[in-house]
Amino acid sequence: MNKQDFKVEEMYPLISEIISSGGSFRLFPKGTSMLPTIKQGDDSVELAAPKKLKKYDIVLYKRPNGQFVIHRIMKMKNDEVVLCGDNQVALEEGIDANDILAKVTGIYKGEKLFKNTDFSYKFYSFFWANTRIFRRVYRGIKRRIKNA
Amino acid sequence: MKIKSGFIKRTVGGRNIAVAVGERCKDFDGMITLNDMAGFIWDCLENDTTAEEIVKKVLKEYEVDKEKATEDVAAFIKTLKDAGLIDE
Repeated sequence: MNKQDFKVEEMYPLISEIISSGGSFRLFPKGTSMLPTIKQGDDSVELAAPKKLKKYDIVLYKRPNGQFVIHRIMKMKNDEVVLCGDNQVALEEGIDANDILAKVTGIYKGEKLFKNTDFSYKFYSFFWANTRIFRRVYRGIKRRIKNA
Repeated sequence: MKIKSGFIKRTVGGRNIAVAVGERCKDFDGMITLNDMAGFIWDCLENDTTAEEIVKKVLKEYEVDKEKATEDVAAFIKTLKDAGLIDE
């Protein structure tokens, strides 16, 4: 498998062309914010057009500062979306659903594809999205021990 | 022979890459990075052509001998055929 060394910023025009044609694109994301769901170098995601977005979907979003992120939808109210990485605690609020560029329709763990329609995928998404509170408590304790 | 419909070549970060669009993504979800000559051969294959015709064009465009050009063209066409990107 080709390990892409392209930046998402560079790839995006092409990704956009592919997904608006009704196709999907396999991207190898960089970074740690979606651990343990997406591990840089090993895992990749299948991106498609952002149709019928719902809570717990993982999406590609471009921040106003130009940075691209792949994070999970934690809340959705009308057209307002709240995002958070699976390895993050802080919520990113006030995002317009129309600014979501793509939706993850499957995750490749190595070469094994888990589709977002699979039961195990849905169960995992629900489970992991609801561990944020534990991550918050854990990091709070860790910080306090460090500072003590 | 020619490149099947649904495959496109684009420049990303200064490099040529080939990917599938639309329905074709179901058969092919990877991407192929093309070097300069491969990109040139790809362009030739956008229209129905033969290996001999491509070799002729390559010889006009690049400073290579016929033997090497024939070899390179054949190798790249084989790669594309194996990946299912070419209609005979």
